[in-house]
Amino acid sequence: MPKLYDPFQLLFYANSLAILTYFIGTLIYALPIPLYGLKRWAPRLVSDGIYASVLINSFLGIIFLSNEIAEALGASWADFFSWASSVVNIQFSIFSSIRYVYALVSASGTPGLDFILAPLSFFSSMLTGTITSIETIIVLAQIIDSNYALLLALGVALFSIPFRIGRSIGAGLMASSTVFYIGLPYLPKFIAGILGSALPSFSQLLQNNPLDFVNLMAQSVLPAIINVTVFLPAAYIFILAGLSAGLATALSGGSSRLPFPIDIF
Amino acid sequence: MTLSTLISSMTTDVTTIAWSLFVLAWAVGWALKGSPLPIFRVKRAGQGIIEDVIMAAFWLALGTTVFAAITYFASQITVPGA
Repeated sequence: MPKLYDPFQLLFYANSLAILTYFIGTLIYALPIPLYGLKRWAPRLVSDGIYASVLINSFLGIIFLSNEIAEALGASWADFFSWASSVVNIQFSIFSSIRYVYALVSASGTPGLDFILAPLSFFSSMLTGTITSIETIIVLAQIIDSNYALLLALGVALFSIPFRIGRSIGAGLMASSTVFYIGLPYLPKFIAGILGSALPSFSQLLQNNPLDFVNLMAQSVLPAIINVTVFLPAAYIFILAGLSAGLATALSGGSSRLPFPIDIF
Repeated sequence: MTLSTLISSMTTDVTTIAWSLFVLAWAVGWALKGSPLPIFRVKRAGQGIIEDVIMAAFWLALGTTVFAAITYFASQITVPGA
């Protein structure tokens, strides 16, 4: 039994399906039934078969071109992952300092400082949320980085199914995997271009006074963290999703459907 | 039966049926076109069928050659890193 989730096995299936599509087209051409609704499919299926066959045979070319474009942009997956792990490190150091101040305040036994505990626990839960956000982006990046060829081949195989059954989702899968493979490693540079630095920047973390610490958290540290881990990545992923939608429409020559639900328009 | 043999046997069947239909439709088309009926629409339908059938034969012949050539060349090229 051949392994189904192997890009070249998928391409083999895609090639057989493209040939099948083509010959179904010629069969419909040869039908002696002069029905326009049926005959309309004949040139469509023939050209679909040829188009799918061209896509299948330019598979390695598409991967080569994607790598070339990614290299020309100057972003690499290694840089992306090292950036992501530094962001997570910063988040955990802030998290531990919040817990540290929390422990100090609650252990000090000063009733006048108790009002600080509520914002501190709010900050730590908010920080947990941003950690979840960056971890989601890291998992997405790992899936795309290690499975780009597979996703592309799956898109090509779906694209080749006769009667345009998988055309829109196949084009969406091809376009979004290519766009995210090229574009996602550029995220740190995008953030650096807007904020001036790819990592959240703030002054010295621990203060002498717990009140100063709360102010620092609320005014500069948490906004910087949320910018770097939630707002700008979300904006950037929306841009990439828009590009994917455009590329998918160009590939399918009509309607397209991205493999993830997203509302841009 | 694996998925690939299923698809390729379907392709073979479809191609065989397409060639048989070509012969049938060619006959039907000329029968309609040459029929001694003074109804223009019938003759026009026969003409349409003949035109389609010529396209069908052209694409069938071209497709059989081209796809065989692609399969042959693809099997001759060793893919780096695969």
